[in-house]
Amino acid sequence: MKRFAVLLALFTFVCIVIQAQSVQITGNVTGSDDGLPLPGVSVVVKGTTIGTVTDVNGNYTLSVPASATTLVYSFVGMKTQEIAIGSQTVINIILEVDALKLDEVVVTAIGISRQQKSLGYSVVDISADEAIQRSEPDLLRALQGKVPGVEIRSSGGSPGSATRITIRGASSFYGNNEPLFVVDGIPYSNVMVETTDMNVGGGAYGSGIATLDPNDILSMSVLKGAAAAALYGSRAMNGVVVISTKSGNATAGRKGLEVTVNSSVNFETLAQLPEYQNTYGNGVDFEYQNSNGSWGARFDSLDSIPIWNEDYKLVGFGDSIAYVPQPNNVRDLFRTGFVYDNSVNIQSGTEKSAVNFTASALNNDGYIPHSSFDRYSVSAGGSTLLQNGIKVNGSVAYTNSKQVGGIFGNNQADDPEAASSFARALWLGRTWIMDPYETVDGVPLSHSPSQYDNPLWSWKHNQNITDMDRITANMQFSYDLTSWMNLSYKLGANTFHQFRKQIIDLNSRGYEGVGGMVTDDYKFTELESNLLVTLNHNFGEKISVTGLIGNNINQRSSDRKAFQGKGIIVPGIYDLNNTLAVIPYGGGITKRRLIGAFGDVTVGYDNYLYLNLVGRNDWSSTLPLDNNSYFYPAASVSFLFSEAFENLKSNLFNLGKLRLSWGKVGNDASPYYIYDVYGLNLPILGQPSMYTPNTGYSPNLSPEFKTEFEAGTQLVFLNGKIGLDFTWYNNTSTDQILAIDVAASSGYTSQYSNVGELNNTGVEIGLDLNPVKSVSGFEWNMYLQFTQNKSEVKAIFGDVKRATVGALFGDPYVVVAVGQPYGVFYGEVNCRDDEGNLLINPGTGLLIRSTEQDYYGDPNPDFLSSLSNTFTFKGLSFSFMIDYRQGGDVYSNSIVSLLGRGVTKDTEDREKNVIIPGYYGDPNTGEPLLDGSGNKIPNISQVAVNDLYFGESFAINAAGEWNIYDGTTYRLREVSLGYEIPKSLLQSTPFGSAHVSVTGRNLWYWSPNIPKYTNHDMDVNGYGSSNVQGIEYSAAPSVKRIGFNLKFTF
Amino acid sequence: MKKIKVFLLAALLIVAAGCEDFLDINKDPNNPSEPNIQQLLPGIQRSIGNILSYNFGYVGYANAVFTHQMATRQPEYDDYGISGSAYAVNRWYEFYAEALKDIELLISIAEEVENTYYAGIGKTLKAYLYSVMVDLWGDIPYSEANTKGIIHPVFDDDVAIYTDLLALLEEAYTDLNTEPTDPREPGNDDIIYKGNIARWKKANRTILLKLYTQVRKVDAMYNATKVNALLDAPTSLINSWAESFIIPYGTSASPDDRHPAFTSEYGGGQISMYISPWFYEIMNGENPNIFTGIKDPRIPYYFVNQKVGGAASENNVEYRNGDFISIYFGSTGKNRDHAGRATFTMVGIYPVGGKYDNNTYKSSGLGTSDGTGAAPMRLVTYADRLYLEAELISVGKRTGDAKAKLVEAINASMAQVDAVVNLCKGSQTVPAISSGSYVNSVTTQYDAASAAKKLEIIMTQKWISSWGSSTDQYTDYRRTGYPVLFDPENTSHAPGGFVTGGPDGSGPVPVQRTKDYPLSWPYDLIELTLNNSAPAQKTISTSRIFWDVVK
Repeated sequence: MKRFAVLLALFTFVCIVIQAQSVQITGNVTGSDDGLPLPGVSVVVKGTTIGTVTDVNGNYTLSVPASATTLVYSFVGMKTQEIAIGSQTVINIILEVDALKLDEVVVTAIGISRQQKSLGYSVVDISADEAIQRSEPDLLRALQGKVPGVEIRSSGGSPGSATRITIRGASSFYGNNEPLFVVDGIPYSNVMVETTDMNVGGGAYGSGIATLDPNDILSMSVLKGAAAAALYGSRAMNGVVVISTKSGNATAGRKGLEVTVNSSVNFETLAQLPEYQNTYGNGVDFEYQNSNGSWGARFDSLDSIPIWNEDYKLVGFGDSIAYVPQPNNVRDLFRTGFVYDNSVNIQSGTEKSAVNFTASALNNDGYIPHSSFDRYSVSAGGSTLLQNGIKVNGSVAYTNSKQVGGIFGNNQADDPEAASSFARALWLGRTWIMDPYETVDGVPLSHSPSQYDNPLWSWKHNQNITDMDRITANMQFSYDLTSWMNLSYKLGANTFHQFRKQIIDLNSRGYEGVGGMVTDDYKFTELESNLLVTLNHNFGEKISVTGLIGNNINQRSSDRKAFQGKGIIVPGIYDLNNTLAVIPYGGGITKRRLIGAFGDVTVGYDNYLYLNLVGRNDWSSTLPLDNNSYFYPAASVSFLFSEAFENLKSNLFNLGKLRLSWGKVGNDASPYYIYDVYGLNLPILGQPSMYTPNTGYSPNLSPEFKTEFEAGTQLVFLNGKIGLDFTWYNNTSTDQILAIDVAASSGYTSQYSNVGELNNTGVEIGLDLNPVKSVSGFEWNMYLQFTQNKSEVKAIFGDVKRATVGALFGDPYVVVAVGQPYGVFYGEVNCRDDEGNLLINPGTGLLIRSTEQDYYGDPNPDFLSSLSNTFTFKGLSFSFMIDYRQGGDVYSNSIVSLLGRGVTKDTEDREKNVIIPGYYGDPNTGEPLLDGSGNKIPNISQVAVNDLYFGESFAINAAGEWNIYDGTTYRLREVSLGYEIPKSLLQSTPFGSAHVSVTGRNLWYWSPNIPKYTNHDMDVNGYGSSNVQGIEYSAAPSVKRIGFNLKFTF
Repeated sequence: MKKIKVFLLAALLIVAAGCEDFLDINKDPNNPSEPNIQQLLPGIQRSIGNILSYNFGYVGYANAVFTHQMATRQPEYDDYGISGSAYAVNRWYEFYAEALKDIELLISIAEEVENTYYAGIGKTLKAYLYSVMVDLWGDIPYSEANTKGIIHPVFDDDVAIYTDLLALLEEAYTDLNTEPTDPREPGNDDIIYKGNIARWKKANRTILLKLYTQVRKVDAMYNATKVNALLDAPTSLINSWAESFIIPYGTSASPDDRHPAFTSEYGGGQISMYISPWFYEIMNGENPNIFTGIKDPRIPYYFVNQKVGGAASENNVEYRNGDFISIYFGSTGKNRDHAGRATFTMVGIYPVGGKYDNNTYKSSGLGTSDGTGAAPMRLVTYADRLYLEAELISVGKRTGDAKAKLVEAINASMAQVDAVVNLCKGSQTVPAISSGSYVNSVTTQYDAASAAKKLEIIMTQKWISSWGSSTDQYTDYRRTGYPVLFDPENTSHAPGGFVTGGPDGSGPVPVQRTKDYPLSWPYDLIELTLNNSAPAQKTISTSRIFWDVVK
């Protein structure tokens, strides 16, 4: 214990405990369900902010003013109790479990805690337990499938790679569509810094939130709608994730010391591999060739083949090798990775002061050799009540993270930098031996060095290394001006410095074989100042008023410098100094400021009717100076009809609440969209050069807005056995500030403007079932989550019917199009007749490419759903979660490559010819050919099976429409078996509690509508957290993990 | 309490005071807000070279395939497949938003400050680039293009645009003959002519000659007097290689100043520029129709074989002729798509600054260390000018000795190879070209040829000479019908739908042509989508440019 005392001395605010003129009340709080002490119960003098929380043993001590009459005891999941003090000095309380969760408190905008019942909009509260010890080092992925209305998609299995989160669909065509993250009241930048286009040789870049230590999280709330988020202002358009950390919320009054240790070890492997055929080797037309495709001779038809290239002789190969399959050549590329996650949390306090300290280390070595993500963080916070009545609290956190990963993206791009490590990894030729992978001189060994780098070589030599330091700090002063009015001021900073080095080593396919690197240095600082006056007053017995007015000042600045060095001089030294030439690779500085003034008032009537009004005005530096002010309001009503009409309630029906809200949120532009500027080229033959950018700016920008209407209900039946939470919403974003595509003949390819109207409507359902709760202690809980969002682009700009969000080499375009959902695929298709039959080129027996493009896919899922089951018996618990995603098209380069290269069992049955069903067409006109009597002519031209998957057919080199696969997926997302060691067993040990668990993640998935043996994970997405979704281009496959977790306190 | 009030007041004052200044921080600190003509010019000139280059995805690539200098595996060009979403067609935006918009800006600044030289250069470049666009697409946005405030520019009639371009060239010529009042004179920022205005005038006159030659069948536009006047004053035209209108490239790899086709082909990765066996066989004297038995001395400069001395290829190959290895247009052969980075014959030193074929072997295939990439992108050269004249004489639009012009043109083509080699050979030892008896052999065939065949010989020589700069060649083919191009449907080219695979190939190769020849390019689909003034997509097998008159 001594060492903790030392630590405490380091982090404790000096505090002086003052004895006031008051009465000292002590007591103990236990739970009615198990009779055990309840730590963390809030004990507050009614109508004041004077209060404390119970310690680990459920004990509390509170000095109450002589005038106090009532104490309020509240705790999450328990019914709140009010006790008249009278002359008591010892008050022991047994809190009853609140099956109805009526008094549950959640954190809402600006960090204000509110009772659920008073909220006229949906706020989802997520327990910190959902985020840790779930075999998932990524905070957001741990929440996949758990929050109605929220879609979370991973970008692949490389450690530390970005995760995309959207709430209630996209609100902007091109702009940021991810929610605002607010940690302890200060915005937390979640930017994904993209150094190279992820299409061509980028890495599996991470997003900012990955630096937040989940072990330090106290609670999380998701504010989904405009009404819920409006107070946060301009950046709340896409919803807000409000996170409170333990360090940032050290709560005084809890005496003693509690140390919590979390420790986990997880093993990770590639989730599922394709099932490979091992009957045919490389080649074409049943003839061996050293080609990429495995369409060659049967293995039983040939004894040996020539060695692939001369370099293999340097590592001991002869002129030829046996012609045999390498059934495990893909599997053997990968390793078993691990995740170690260890953290220590120390909380301590006195009646008036508290400190909290968390230190964590996460080490994740990925299943891809040489890939890793390491995160070290320390955070400390404290609070104290000064002698003059000012409460001061503050916290500071530092995180260092380091991500090492390979080069991904497309390999085929005619770009000298392209060298994807997954160019062939999953569809290796069936004869290929991948190890040894280099000569003694480090020259990669592969069967066609110009086409791809051996992945084993690539992971060792071509790396993306991102080192990031983040510091967050905040300090808050608050003072009760009167018993019902509080003034507080909070100042915070969140700054990070990311340094990335992206190396393509000598002899790689990329960088002309001469090697090179890009360094990318990115600094970001956000300052936030909040001045708040909060009011809390009751008028008589029935009317309560809470409100606040505030001012917010925010400044964000960034500074980025990137350089490219080409030509590595001395092998093995990866520094710009060791390159032949260094040139700038982009960068610049940005700064923006925002001032906001806001107010919020909630009037409650008799604990069953609440009306909330919110207004905020912002002034932004990024809008034209004479038009930079904008106001937006929100209103919501919460009506607990079961409380209003008591006779509605019965044993069958216990609680009914109706929520209605309407809100509007405004947003500004990014910096520097107002004035036209000229771009600077690199020198051309030594001459300085400038150009006019292809994007035009606009001096007439005005703010963009999103309005949302939301209606919801919460119903509880059978004394809590059934709980239903249903929300319907409809939101529309208008006047979006974005660079809309314009015809190039205008001189610009895009032009900033206020354009567009995008509508999202959806439902969110959370169904809580508690079918079994036996006296013996056995409990079964089920939770069903359902999320559906339908988006529709209502208008773009003038008569423009379609605009591009992103493009993959011209096919597909990810577009917004009037009447279509957000971000649909548009591109190359084949000709069909008017009945939809394919037209066949009589010359080839294959398809005919249309001269027109068309829509051919929608990446938005029809709905997302998940079912969690939890069984508990005494200290033992078992839970699992299955989630289901219906629809959501994926453009999958991996599936197409697996088919086109003829490596999986899907294409094994090939010793035959086939006829593509369809009618003959004219390849010049794309019209059906007709016979003498004017009838269409059915196709009878036979083609080889190989031709179905390579060429103008259905896989490689096919029109983009054939790269689209349905994303419907069933998944066993999470399994957990835990045991809380009984306290009785721990009594003779220093431990206060101990919990052990085994967890599994992504153990199984199945997508019924993709080629069976590809086993592709449709969740994987190639573009990180960008707006281009549903495109998978040689991304790292997903991961499965099994972990062992230990948590104990003392 | 008092302290708190003071604090509150102070905070409110901070908020209220100086909001304007506090928020006035939105001027981009990273980029200039004022344009500079001397910095615009090099970017414009380089853009033109890049757009017209013939590496994969650029304008010259498709045209090299369509004129059978190059073969490809890409279905978007092979078998005359070209759609509005083909990469090369998508360069449309670069013509407008990268080159022409900057040219318009250059002209408008130059006219404002009365800098006639920059204005004249700008107008000459504008006329050249728009004429190339009309030659590819026909009707295009012109009068309303690149106009601030117009996002749906109308498509103008190709005749009207050409008429205007001819006038614009004259206007530019007047500008170039006028001493500017603005003190800034073009110098090294003019990467084409280093500020040599006399040469700009020659380029201007030669482009004018080229446009008149292209419209020679359009009686209403052709101006015989003007053409004769131009040709009567040969020193006013491009009159030597040194005066040629070319975009130079350099040797620097970083920043990359090299010819883009060098970087894409020699820079690792797969190759995409396969030499057409049709082109090779004609140059090698193996085509029964033309130049039979005459071996072209330019072969080792144009192409570089990788499998020297009959070395084994990585895989079975579709076409092999000694060390020359390639694939066919319209092939459906099983060996077309095999890997062969170290196998296929590559584009050589002459057009891209690659390797001179000195019969040396490199097992891993050629890379950027085998050349410099410092070859220029040729737009209009001295040889081109001579071919224009030979054509005009041959069709009776000009009096003179067509054969003598042809000989001059071939000699200039040979000298052009040496000149380019000298710009880009780096440390390679490259012999000067020895045309030997080549010119005599060609003229012997010329003498024996019919009038039509004589034109075919001139146009076929121009076609050979144009290697690396294929866009005019596509125009010339559509104008004249020459050279005769490979046609899988032609029974003498591919009897029974098969070609031989070459003397050293793996056997007969099935070929086919399922689409008709594209008489113009399809419109860029993005433009059609976004521009409400755009016409419907055209049928390219029937859509002719106005100068494509059957006569």
